[in-house]
Amino acid sequence: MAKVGLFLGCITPLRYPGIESSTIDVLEALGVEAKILQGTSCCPAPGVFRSFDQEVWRALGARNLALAEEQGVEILNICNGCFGSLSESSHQLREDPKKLEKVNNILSQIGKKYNGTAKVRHFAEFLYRDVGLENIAKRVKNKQDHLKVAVHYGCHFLKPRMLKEIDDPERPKILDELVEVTGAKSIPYKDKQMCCGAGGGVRARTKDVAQKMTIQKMENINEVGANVIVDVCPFCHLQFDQGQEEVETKVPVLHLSQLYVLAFGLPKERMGVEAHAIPVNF
Amino acid sequence: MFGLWVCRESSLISMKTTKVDKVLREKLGAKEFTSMLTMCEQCGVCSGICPLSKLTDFRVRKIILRAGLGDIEAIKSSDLWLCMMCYACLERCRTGLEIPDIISVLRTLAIEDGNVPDSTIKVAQMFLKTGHAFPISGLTKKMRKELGLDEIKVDPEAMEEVGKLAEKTGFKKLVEGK
Repeated sequence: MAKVGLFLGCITPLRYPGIESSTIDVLEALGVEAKILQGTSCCPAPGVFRSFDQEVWRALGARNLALAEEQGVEILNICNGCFGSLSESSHQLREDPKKLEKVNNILSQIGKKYNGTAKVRHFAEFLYRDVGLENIAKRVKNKQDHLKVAVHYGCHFLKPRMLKEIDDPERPKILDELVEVTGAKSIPYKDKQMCCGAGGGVRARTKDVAQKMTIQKMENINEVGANVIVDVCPFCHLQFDQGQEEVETKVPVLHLSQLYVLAFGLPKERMGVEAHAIPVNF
Repeated sequence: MFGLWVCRESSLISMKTTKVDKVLREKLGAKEFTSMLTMCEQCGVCSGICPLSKLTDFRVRKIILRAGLGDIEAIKSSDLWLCMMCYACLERCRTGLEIPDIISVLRTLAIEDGNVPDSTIKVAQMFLKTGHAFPISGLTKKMRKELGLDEIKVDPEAMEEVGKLAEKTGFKKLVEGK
């Protein structure tokens, strides 16, 4: 199994540290050799940085990619935003020698070079492909059959499909299987693949629009009677956790890593649910 | 009536390469083929699948049309900043236009033109100070300690590097000038 460097990003360590501790514990329980990738900055977030300039976005991303390359690890993301940003910048730098040359010109200012070899992975995809459902199932101690889960994939875990090559982004199964291996039931709901509403800088700029999206998602989630939302992105996590103020029936939110803490029977306090706006009482 | 209007404007698109199209090709480099706005057939699949179409007046098709016509005023429209970059349109565009990338470049043009939301500048400024795009809160600091996680602090070496990159790429000037 590949050695991985955990890329923390911004929202996980700064807003939901429980996702970080849960991920560390779950990877350890599954026998994955993981270290936190040190010295990284924001991925950088494409909604903001790619809007300023593609070159800036690629150069800042390449610095993070070069760190993983230097340390000889694959980059493991627990956030769809970081995964999307780093997948796309690394793809462009791998496919286009001109872009790589330009980026290395910039990186030479800080004595760094990126060779274009970093591998960018997502926590859920890594668990599915490298660890495998069977091995995860063996680790499940507490069946979560009381959970009726609204699975939320988010946008940048599977899209663009040609680049990610993980699963069909419009009819995916991967995350449902990763959830159901714990004994929980994934319940289908309307517009399941729809965005949470937060991305692209929309939450920060026009919160009312982000809220409209979330409220619509929540209507669909409540219609099928789900009692928990499971995501694989701390930004979607934040949007669902904080964006349900106006929703009558509030549904608690768990990152996949937190669900696995419950299922594996790891210490519950490691989930860090005190940071959640909607109480988690499982 | 409306269909005819679209047809006329589309044929206009196919006749010329506009300034916006040139900028797109320049910014997107090797992907000029997919960044060519002239290839858009105005089929409207993008607006059809865009989740914002149901909830707001945001229409991807119209943004692409206006950009294709070289309508520089399009970049002054606040609509550009409503896109959540969810990539639904990217998956469905039958011409294969990389629409989110096009919107990003239109945003770059808007920023150069001085049309940038305060929230975007704020995040960029925070990044130049801390290397991250999210503020550190007291609760998080306390929780990290209790969870036995590393203390979050600004890494001076990383920040020096990030600062230099921001300067070299002109990002710093762009942000600080606002």
